[in-house]
Amino acid sequence: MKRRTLMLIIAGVALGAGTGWVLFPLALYTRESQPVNFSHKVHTGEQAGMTCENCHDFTADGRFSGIPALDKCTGCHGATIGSTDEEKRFVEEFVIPGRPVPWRVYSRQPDNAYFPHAAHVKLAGIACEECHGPHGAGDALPAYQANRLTGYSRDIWGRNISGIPSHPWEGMKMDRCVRCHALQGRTDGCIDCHK
Amino acid sequence: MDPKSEKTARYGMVIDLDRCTGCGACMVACAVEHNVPPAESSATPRTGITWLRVYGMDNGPEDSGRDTAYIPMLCQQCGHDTPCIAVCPQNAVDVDPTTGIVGQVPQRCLGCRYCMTACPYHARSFNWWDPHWPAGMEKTLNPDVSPRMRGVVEKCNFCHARLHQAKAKAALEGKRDIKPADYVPACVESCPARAMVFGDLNDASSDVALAAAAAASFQFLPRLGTEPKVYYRSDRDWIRRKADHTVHSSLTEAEHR
Amino acid sequence: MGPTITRRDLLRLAGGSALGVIFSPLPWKLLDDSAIWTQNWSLNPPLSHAPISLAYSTCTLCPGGCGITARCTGGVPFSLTGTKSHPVGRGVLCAAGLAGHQMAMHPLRIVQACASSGRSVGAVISPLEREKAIAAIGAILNGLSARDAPHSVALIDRRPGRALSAVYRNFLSTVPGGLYIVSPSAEDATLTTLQQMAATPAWIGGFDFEQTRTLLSFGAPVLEGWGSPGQVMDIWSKRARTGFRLIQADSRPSRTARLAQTWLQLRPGTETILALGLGHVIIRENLHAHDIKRTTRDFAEYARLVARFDPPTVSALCGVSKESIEETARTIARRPSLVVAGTDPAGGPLPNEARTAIAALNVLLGTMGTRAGIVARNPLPGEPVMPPATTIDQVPDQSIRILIIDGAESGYDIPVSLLRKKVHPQGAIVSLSPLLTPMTAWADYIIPAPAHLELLEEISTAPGAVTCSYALARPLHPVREGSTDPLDFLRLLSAVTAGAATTIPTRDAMLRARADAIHASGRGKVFMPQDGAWIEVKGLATTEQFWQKLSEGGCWIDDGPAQSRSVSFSLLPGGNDEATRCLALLSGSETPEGSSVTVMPYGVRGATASAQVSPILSKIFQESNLKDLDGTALLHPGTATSYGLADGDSATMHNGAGTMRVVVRCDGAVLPGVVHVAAGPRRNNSDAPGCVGGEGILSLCEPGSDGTWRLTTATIGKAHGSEI
Repeated sequence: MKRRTLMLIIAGVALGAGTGWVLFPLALYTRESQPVNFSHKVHTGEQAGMTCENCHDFTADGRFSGIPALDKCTGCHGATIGSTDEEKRFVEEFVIPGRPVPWRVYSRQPDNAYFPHAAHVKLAGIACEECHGPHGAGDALPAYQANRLTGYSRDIWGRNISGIPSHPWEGMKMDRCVRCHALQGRTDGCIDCHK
Repeated sequence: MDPKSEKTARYGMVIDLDRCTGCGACMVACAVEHNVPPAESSATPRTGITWLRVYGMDNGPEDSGRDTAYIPMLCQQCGHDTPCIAVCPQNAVDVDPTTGIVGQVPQRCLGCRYCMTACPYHARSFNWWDPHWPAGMEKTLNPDVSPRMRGVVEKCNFCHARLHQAKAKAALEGKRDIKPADYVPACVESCPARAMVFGDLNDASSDVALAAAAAASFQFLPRLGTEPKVYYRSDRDWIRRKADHTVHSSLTEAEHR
Repeated sequence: MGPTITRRDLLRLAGGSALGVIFSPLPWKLLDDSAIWTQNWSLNPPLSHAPISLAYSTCTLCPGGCGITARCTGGVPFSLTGTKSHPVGRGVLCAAGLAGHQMAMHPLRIVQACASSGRSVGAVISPLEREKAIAAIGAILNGLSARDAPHSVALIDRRPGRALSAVYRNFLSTVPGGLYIVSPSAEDATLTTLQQMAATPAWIGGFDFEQTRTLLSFGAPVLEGWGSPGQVMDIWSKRARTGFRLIQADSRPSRTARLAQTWLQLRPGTETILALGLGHVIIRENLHAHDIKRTTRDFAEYARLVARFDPPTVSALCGVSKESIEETARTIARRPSLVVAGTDPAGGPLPNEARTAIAALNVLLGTMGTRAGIVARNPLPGEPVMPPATTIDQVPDQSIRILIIDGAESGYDIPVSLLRKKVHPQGAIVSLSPLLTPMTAWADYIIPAPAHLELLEEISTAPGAVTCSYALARPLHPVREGSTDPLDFLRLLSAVTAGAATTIPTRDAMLRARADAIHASGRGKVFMPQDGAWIEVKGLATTEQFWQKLSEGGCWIDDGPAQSRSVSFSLLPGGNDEATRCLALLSGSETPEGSSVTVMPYGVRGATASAQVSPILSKIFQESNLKDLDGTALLHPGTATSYGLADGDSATMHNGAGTMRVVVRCDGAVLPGVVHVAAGPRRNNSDAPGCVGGEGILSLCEPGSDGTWRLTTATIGKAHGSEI
């Protein structure tokens, strides 16, 4: 009797935990592939030798351009220059008709959050990888996962559903900002980071 | 990096009431800059959203010596015992220690409107309606300012988004301190009569600090001790008297006349 | 005990599951996400993440021609400011101009040709294919013959002086009885009057305002969008240093009157008397120019006329004290000074004799052709010399078969009753307005033009400027499909009209022809908004280079004022008739009888007046008390009390022309027995947000024999229940 009760409770705990840890994230997030399977690896490092800032650059007024607009791509890919089918498709579908690529942005913050890249990169000297991870070496773009409730990217919370980052760069929620700013001894007002 | 190398500013403004013609350009520039929606049909001066409002004011006597002034009234950015902060149950208002700007985070606000009651300058507005733009006009929103939802309070923050941009621009050049010309609020920029001067009051050589220190400058309701960072100036005595006018002072004012 | 599953088992499993879930991220993450969800108000529109860029253009809401610097995201403008150091705009924009980028998304926007079922109340407006609408207008046009002349086809140009205006005039010259009409408020009243008084017909003048120390204004809204607003504001804000002095002669407590150093509050309709009274003092005290007999042709007649307007008489009629009249005459005699006449757009023009009496003061004081006075200006290169335009009151009643109303600005300054009177009962009214305002709705056919900042437009010399200027208004929005460039409308109409042989140029060719003429003159220089640099026209080798500079937002400015030539003027261009009309004023006007009040309409439309405004202008009209909404009636508290009215009351005004509902606002500065009623933006509402009233108070105003509708009488009383 006692044993059966225990078994049932343990089974229940396993069921509940399984739902929470495994099924819940599957239900919570959508999965969408990017419109073009862009390879960072091909463009950076030993292959094309570009750095992050070659494409993800700043405008003269200090704004960060984020994912570059199509004209940045067209600068090199005005016509097909490689041999992959994906590049050929990219040139035909986007470059030639001049259609902007509807990229999904993994790190898109809510409209009321303000994050100046210039201050963090130029003044604080934080490397891109510290927040964005080593995706510059990746060959394929991971699927974009949007939270069905909030509409934000999964990368804001972090890939790990527990919220405990498995890598130091995971997660882009406010607590992470606050922690780092506290370590720097900064005194900020709310509106320093909210608009 | 040493964060202390960043200069602590105290942003303020001086408004020359002898120049203001009450044209309303500042009010429109402000609403456009901050994505404030046009009025709903039943909105009134009591329920509308204006971060900056221009009031007309007469000196009183109707037969002779009539004189009119227009007073642009915005958040006075109180530097001491800031009344709205003391009453906010949500910590949705704070004074930015590095700029002196009183910030309001609408996302934290629960809409109790204590701050509106506490504000001696009536400089706060409540969103009685959902923000609504005529079809297509939402495309013309300023991307640097997030729109607010129904049920929260909002107010002037000295065009803080422009300060963000000025700081980002300075940061790109590796500097922590901004160029004063890069940070000008929308109302100051738009004033056709150039009646407003803006800048860092801590910088003694700035136009605004000099104007604030001038003899003709004054603050509204100085007796409350809130130390507004918005100053006004006028050569007309009656305006200065009215600026310190409270129910209790009406007697003394009568004597004054 | 078999494997029977009891209720208790299920509860144990559920309890375990609950425990398991608590030790999983599910509840905590859901809590966090729901909190974020509540912040994501679906009614908050998303913000653009597109790159930010700057674009330069010129405002065409009024003839001021202020330079615009637009901040755009993804090419869509989201904020306008005045272009820094712009020679015309001086780096500022007015309240209406600051929201100009929203006009293309105005809720009243129409992008479809329409036809109305009639002109009565409750007429239905339904879409009609553009070609069918134009064919219908063409059929009326083809049915006209010379017998229907003199004025069978008329066009009201809301902004004369454009290259488009010349095309309009050319077109009208090819149709039977073509008549070109301009709005009374479209041109500067003082300068057009002086033009009529000048012996040299082609004389064009401008105010050398910058150096003027005293400005006497008869009702001109000097501080509310007059001339080139940036320049006026600049002069006003420096007055403490320069000693600039504004004397405003105005019945209404307008913003300009309240702020002016001196406000002469004269009784309604007594401008002529006051102006002649000032002339009297100037001549009596020998304050006039010494060469007056040489610069005028009829000084003796004028002197004889003003001799009758001595200060005590004038004071009794105008309500301005004898001392004020003498003091004002002495002040303006201390030059440099200027005397200007004007009115806000809804106020109606001043009567002819008032305008000449006011303009004559400039001649009398010798401000003509002198520094800081009124100086001749060069015409714009390539500007064709045209006979003067007609004003609507000069048109015989019921003579217009087709009335085309130009869409520029879409502001209204002519009473509908007046237009109605001039149009033949079987005539057709065609509106080219891009906005479905109440007045547009009154037209039989609507062929909507593209909205503000959608079309490549031009703007030349601001009213009253001493040097010509020319700039292009580069579009900031794409043209919305379904709207028709007025040029295309004329082209399509010509194609279906039998007699019209005129060729309508393309917009590009039309504007390039003007630019080419300016370039060919070799005069002036171009201001570039990008860096504030000035480029000499002589330094631009080809016309293409000049066009390029203009296209980039450049503003061309002519070299200085024209060489001063001595021009002689007539102080009484109307001769004996005019003198008789003036003398008749001495007998005084009859005060409104019985329970009637004197009604004066006034216009409040943004800071510059005559255009429709964006709904965001509700900040100054509806969400604050800064400016008056359409239908606000300003009354003296005593007058209000005598009619049983109090501040905030709803009242009804009525006269033979119509009935109107107004909202009472008591103001101690209003003259007793006078009601000033605002024509301006209405309260925002879902049907007609922010629109300027089409009829409103103007429906009560009927033009008198003097061609103006400044004054009318009506009864006023408390509104009851559902009265309209």
